[in-house]
Amino acid sequence: MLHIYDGTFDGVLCAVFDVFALRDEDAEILPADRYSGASLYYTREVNADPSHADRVGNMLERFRPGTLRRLYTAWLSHDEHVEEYILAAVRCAVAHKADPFAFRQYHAIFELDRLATLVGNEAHRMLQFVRFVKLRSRVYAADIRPEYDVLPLIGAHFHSRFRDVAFMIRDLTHLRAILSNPREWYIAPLPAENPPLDADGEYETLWKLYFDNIAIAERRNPKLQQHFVPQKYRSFVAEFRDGADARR
Amino acid sequence: MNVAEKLKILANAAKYDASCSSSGSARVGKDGFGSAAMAGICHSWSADGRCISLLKVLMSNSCVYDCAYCVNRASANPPRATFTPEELASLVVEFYRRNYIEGLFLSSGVCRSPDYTMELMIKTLELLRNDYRFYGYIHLKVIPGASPELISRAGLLADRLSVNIELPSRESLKLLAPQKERAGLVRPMRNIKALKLQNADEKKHFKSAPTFAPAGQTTQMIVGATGESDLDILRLSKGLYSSFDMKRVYFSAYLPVSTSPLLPGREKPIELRREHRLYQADWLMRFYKFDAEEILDRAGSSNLDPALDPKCAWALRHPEFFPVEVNTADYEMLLRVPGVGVKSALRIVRARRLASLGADDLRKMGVVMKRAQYFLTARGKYAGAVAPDSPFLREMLSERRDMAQLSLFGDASAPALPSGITLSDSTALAMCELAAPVEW
Ligand code: SF4
Repeated sequence: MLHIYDGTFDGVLCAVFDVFALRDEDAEILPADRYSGASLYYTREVNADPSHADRVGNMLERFRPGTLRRLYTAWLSHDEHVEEYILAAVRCAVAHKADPFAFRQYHAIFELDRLATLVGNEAHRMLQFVRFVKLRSRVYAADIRPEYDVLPLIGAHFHSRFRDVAFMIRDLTHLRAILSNPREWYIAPLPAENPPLDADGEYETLWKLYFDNIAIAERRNPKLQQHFVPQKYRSFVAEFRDGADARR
Repeated sequence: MNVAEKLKILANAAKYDASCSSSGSARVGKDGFGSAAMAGICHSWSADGRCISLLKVLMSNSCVYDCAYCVNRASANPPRATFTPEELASLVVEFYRRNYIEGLFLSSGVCRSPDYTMELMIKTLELLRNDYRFYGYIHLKVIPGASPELISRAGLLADRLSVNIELPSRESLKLLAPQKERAGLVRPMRNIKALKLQNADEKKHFKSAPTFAPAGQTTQMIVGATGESDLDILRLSKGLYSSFDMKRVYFSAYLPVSTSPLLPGREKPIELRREHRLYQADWLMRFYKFDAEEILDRAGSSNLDPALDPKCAWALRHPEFFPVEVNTADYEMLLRVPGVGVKSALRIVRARRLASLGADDLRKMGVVMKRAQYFLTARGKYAGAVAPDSPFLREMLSERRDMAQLSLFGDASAPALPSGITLSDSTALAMCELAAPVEW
C-alpha cells in the first residue's frame, strides 16, 4: 500500500502507526508533495491523529531517550528514501525491543544514521557560522544558506542565548526564517526576493581586524582552515565573505 | 590610542596561547543574555587552522617580568597597550551579540604587579557579569603571584581558570623565566583545586551558592624550547591531571620569538609534528586508558616516534595482544586497536549483541580499516594485506611521507601539518576540545 502523509514529521509517524495498524507488509510512505498521483500501489491518505504520532514517539524514546530527535534530524534531510528508512527503523525497534540506532549493520539504519549526522553536523555549523548584523531598528538579523532545512534544530539555541532582543535568521536556500522575540520564536516563510542586509560597520571591522591578527603566521595552514570552514558557507560568514586573503 | 589599535596589539600578543576552548560549562540565566554550551562551540578558524571560540586577548601586554621565550617580556620592544575594563567588556558584548564568539579568554602580562593586573581583569569580569548580565563563557588566566583572595573572586566570575606551567621542568623555568618559580606556579593551581572542593561542599548546603570555575582549570607548556624528552613531558602532564584535576594540559610548539642565546634559533624547525604527537599521546591517556609509561616505555626511546601515531607504535611493540577478535574482545581491548575509536568501540559492543560482525560491518561502525585490518579478526577472518608480524607493517603504517613538509623554513608556503587533513587531526581537535575523541 502507498501511504500519503501531509509532509510533517508528525505525519510520517502517523503513517508508520497506520502501517502497523493495517499490518501492511509491503508499505511505502510518501509525502503529499512528492506524490505524482500515479502509482501501481493501492493508495491511501494517512490519518493525521497526533495521538498516533505520540504513541510511536513514546515507544522509541522508551528504548533510548534522544532516538526520536535523531529520527527527526534525519527526516529533515528530506532524502527521497528517508520515509522508507524510518519505517525500517521502527520495525527494527519493535522486533528487537531496542534502540534502532544500535543496529548500524543494517543498510536502512546505517543510511538513517548517516542522514542524521549530515543534517546534525550542518545544524552545528550554523550555530558556529550565523553572523548577525544590528539593524537600525535594533533588530539583529542574519542570512544563511544551508544545504538542509536546519532552522528547526537551531532556533531554540539562539532564542535562549539572545533572549533579551528581537532577531531573525533568514534561510535563503529554503526561503524560511526564524523570528524570535523575548517571548517566543517561530519559523515563517520568506518571499522569493529578499533584499540584502545592511553591513554592520564598526564592529564587523573590528572583528575582521581581530580575526586577521589572531593567526600565527609561522603556522599558516589554509588546508586545515578550509576543512573547518568549507567554501560553500563562506559567502555568509562575515570574516570570510570578502576574502580573508584579500585583506592581508 | 583607540580600541582598534589596542585590539590589534593585544590580540597579536595573545595569539600564542594554545587554548581557545569554550567547553565544560552549561550556564544560562533568566535575566540578561548569553549561555554556555557544555561541548563548547567554535565560531571560526583563523589562517593557521586554529579554532576561534573565544575573544582571546590580553588585558595588557606591558610586563615587568622578563621571560626569555615571551614576546611581551620587559626587555623586548613591541608596541604596548592596555584595555580599560569598560572598553574590553563592551567589545565582548558587541562581538557576542553578533555570534562571533562564545565569550572571553582573558590573559595578561604583569602590568605593575600581579594583584594590580588581576584587579583590572576582575573589574572587566564584574562589568560583564553584573552590569551587562552576560552569561557567556569566560576563561581567565590567573597571574602567577596573585593573592588567593583575588583568585577566589575570579573563580566565581569565570567558567574556567588556568595557570601556565610554562616549561616542562623546574630547571628550564629557572633558566628562562628567573622571576617565576615552579612553586609559585603550582601554588595557584593548588588554590584553585581547594577552592573548587570547598565550593562543591558549600553547594551541598546552599543550592543557590554560585559555582566556582564550573569548567575547572587547565594549563599549558611550551615544548621544543628546552631539552626535556617526550616521556618527561607526558609524566609531568599525567601528574598535573591527577594532582590538580586539570581538565586539559595544552602543549605549544616553541616559535622563535626571541634571539636569546638560551633559546633555539630560527634555523631550528618548529616542532609541530612533535606537538601533534604529544596531543595524540595525551588523548590516549585521557580517553583510551593508556598510561604514560605504556606510551613510552623506559626500555625504548623516551621520545615519540615522529613517523607513527603513538597508538600504532604501541600496537607494534605489543604483537602478543594482536590480532583481537572483534566479536569477543572486551571493550578495553577494542579501544587499543589502531583504527578503532571510542565511538566505534561502543558501537561494536552494542551491535555484536545482536549478531556477529564481519569486516564489512566494522566499516559501518566507523572503524578505520586502513589501520585496523592488521590488528583484528572478524569471525576469525584476518583481513590485513600483510601478517601482523610482518617486517613491512611498520613501514605501511608510518607517516614518513609527510615529513618533508614540516620544515617550514625550507618552503615557507608548505602547509604546517601533514597533507590529507581529516577530522582525525587531533591537534586541531585537541585545541578546540570539541567533538568526540578522534577515531584511531
Ligand atoms: S610574565 Fe607572562 S607576559 Fe610577562 S614576560 Fe613572562 S610570559 Fe611574558
